[in-house]
Amino acid sequence: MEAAAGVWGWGWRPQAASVGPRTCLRARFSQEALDLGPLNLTLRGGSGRGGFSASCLEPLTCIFQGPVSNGAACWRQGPGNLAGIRHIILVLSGKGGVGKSTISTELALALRHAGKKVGILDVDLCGPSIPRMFGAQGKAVHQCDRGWAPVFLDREQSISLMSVGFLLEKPDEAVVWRGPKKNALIKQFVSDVAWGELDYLVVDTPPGTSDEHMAAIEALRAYQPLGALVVTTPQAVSVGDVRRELTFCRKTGLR
Amino acid sequence: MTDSQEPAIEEIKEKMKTVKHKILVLSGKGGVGKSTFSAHLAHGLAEDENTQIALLDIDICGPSIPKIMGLEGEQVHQSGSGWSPVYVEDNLGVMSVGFLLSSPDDAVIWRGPKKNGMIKQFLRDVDWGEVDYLIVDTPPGTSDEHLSVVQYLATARIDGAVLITTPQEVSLQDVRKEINFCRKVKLPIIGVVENMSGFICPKCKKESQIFPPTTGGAELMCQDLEVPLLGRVPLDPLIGKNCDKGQSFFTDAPDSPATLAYRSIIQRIQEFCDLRQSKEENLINS
Repeated sequence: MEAAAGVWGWGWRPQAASVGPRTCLRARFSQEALDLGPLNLTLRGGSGRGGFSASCLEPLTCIFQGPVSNGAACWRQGPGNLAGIRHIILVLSGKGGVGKSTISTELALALRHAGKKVGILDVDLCGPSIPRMFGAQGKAVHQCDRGWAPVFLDREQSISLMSVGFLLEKPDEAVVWRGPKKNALIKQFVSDVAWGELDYLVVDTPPGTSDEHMAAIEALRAYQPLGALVVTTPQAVSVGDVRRELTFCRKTGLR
Repeated sequence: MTDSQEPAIEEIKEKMKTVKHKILVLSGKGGVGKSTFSAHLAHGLAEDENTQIALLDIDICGPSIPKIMGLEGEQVHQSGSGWSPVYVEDNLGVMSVGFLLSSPDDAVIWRGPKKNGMIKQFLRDVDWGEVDYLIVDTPPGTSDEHLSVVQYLATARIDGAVLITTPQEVSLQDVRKEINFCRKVKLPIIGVVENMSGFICPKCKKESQIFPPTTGGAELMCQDLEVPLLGRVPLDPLIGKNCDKGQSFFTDAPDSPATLAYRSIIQRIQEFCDLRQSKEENLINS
């Protein structure tokens, strides 16, 4: 498969060494107005690992372009990629910098220590901290027949990660997207990442109560998330934002 | 959307004619002290009674400014000339979505387009009057709010952005993205402030690094990316305490190293704005 610019698709399943689906996809998508800054997704093929077999052997550079409406005709859900996950926990806070990513990381490591298989989904698209927290910067997302393979930290695959940080060509590249585009990627993270069998999926979120949170909850609702862990620091400025986050949880039916 | 399609941009440009200097306070990272810095920048500038200061909080989901300025529970009134900001002092007016909520626990669960609409209204409908400095406090990230404020103020000329960080790499990596964002949208960078940079124990006076700069801190980042480092503000527990109480930290601890650091940074920001203004005047006169 030659390296070429194209539109990375929602619900597109690549077939081995074929150019067909990619060109077909470009015809199916309508190019809408650009948000600032294209996202270059570099998916590199590799040898199969633990049940996954890669289908692309050449580097494929795709350019994300334009917001896509949620009802795009070519969008289809992956084959229940979250079906093998026993518990889903969202880590939230209205306030920034209180330690959501830190707590998500420590929670995942503690669960792994207790013998569980854990996945972390980082839906903070503007400030993805999870790759650095695990020392996994520079790792790439591989493609498999079931979708996108998460980044594994060890051979036992006891911790798997997915973050937009792994999809950026340069670590300092800013993801400058408006809401609809962020929603689309988060939906893709939920449906197209082949998590496999997990005991826990920890979802690390950005601060606030906006697009990312709504997109994550909408996409995860069918899989009945266990609930939310809300993080705060003691100061009143923090607690004020967290009260609002608790209101958000109540309104969205999150325990 | 081009300027011709967005009439609000022209309206905002008209409204901003009475505002001399506009400063954005940004950070890719959350919780580094943007709102704290914005509030104290406003307090510091407003100490000169002859300057009129405006503080605009565009963090729609997590509006901290009302609490930090001691204005919780205040409401926005509307007059013939637009929305009236809430005044802390005669020369310091504040606007935030926090004043529009019926209860402080109300969550603003809005998607991007609605947030953009609110920001447009803040810029177009608030009657700021004659203002020397408009300080805009932003939420963390590089998303709708940031794109909107830059877009709406594009023709009204923003003086520049002040970026806040803490010394850790987890913070710096997000701030580097923010610097790239500023360059992408051609927003001048006034400089970077390293907040929570060291803690001096009030009892033994020994300095500790609570957030160690394992990768060189803001200083190395600024050297690499060729942006000015405006200064370092040490961690002082009184800052957080005063923010919770809604008071100016400068009044409570005028001799703290943090106060001195703030004052020096504020002076550098004023110098930047004055220099920019005189350059523009020279350009017009030549």
